[in-house]
Amino acid sequence: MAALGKKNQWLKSFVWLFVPLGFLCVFCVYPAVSAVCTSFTEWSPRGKTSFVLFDNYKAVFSDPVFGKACGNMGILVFFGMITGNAATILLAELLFNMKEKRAAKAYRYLFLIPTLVPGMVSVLLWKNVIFAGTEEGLVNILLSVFGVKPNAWYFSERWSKFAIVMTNFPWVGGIGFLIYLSGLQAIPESCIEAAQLDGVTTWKRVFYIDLPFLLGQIKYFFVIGLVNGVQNFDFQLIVTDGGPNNSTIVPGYMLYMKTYGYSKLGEASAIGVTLFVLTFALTLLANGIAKRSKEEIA
Amino acid sequence: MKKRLRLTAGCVAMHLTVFTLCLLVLLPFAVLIVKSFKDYDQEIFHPVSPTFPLHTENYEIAWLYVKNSIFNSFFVSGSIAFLSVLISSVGGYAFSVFSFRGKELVYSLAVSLMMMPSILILTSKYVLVSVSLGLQDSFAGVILPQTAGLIPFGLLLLRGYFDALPKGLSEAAEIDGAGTLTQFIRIALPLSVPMVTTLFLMNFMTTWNDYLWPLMILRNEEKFTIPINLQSFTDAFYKTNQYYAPALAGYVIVSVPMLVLFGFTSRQFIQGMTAGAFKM
Repeated sequence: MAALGKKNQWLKSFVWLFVPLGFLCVFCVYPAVSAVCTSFTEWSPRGKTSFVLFDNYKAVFSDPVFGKACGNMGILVFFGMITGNAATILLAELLFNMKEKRAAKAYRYLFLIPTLVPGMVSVLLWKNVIFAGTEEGLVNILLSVFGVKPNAWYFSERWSKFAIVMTNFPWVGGIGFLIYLSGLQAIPESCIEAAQLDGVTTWKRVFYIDLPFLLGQIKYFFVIGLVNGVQNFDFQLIVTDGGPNNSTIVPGYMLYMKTYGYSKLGEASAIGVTLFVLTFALTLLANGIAKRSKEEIA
Repeated sequence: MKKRLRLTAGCVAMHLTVFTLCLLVLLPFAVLIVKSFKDYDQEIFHPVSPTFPLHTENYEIAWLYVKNSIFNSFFVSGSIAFLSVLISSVGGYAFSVFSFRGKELVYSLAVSLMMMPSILILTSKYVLVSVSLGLQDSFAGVILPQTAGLIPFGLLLLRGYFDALPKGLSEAAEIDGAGTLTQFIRIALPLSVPMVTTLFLMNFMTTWNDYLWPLMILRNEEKFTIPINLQSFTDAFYKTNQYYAPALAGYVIVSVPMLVLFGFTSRQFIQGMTAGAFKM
């Protein structure tokens, strides 16, 4: 390598990196810069852009629907993270403690099946079969045994958020448990053996050894859960349209509607920038908390 | 004696819990299969329990609706996975072997794009692709931006891998007069087949499930990928026939390709799925 002249390497690197970096510039960097710029302008497809400073932000923040959307988002992200992480850690612990290794391995494959089925199939299954609002809906059939009347679930203002949180119950079908499981398997054998010799019960071991060792993974899922949760509006898009009566609307869905349906691109970009700042701040906060708790343990 | 008895009780409880969880996870899919064989009357009067005769013609009806979308999805996801792996291996290799001023800065900027929330760029990316580039309703409009989105992680994964390859091989090749391109194609790529396959599968699966972006770009039903097609087909069928069974048969059909693929490549799949968490 050293034989090559410096200039030569510059040229070569440029040729090699032209396509990869070109792709990134066109489809990632430019849109990001453009989003920030657009959020300060009144944009229309026929040209004629005018600079409006914070008008878009004012319009977004003074919209009562946006406040409601943020509240909904908070609720959905909070419960989504609790249910998802608690359930997957539980499953990983169960499989980790299973003495019959062959059974544990078979279960590993079975629990992966939901990840392999297209996500849309799961969503439509929950919408049209399990939480279906008609009398043929699975949950409604189960509840009718106790004499409960059919509920519209996703389409009832009162229950829609609850139904979204309960979707995918028991929340373990995903790759999360695999990542926790490999975290558990990375715990030094000697630690667990020492605990066993000292007669520590499994429960105590879970809380004093396993969970502290899983801190890295928990932090990872916490950050990913926040970042994805804030951005996610699949359910609104596919099932509820943010309704009924805005009971499931989230900022991401508002952004989508303003981008796609109403062509209020300035306001849409303002929401995008707001959500970006929010996730960035939350990520920094999560990193700070994780660092602190790590120091406390150490 | 007493301790042993308690241990087995614990074991039984554990097995029961896992078994129940597994049942709950798989139950929706079992219900899906059972329901997919019903006709109108069976669906209304026996919504959940198995009914006979099985109406296999549901699958024939569903096939007509979904076959196009399966090919489209294979084409779109395959192209995205192929292009993103190709481009990120070229980039990753360049970052690994060349040296120039500001390399690490450019590299970390490129990789940090991974953390950029896609919602921030959704609006302007849509305007760019559909208005400025005129790629509305074209496969290119779906493939190119999605490919770009997968490059940062690919760079991170593959540069790390190329960095760890033994230097002796490329030095020997260089003495024999092999250029960088030859070294890349003849030495680096063959040695990285496992990592490249894993990345390909991961990218394939991610885009196989993509819904939002294809929905925004594609207009013509003939170009619909599986997720968009499923939704429009379900709604259209229910509106005219007032029952779901053939649509559910369609769900079963479109789930098959990924399950088969997983059957053949489960090790790379699991590796790929867990790789993400540790690289960060």
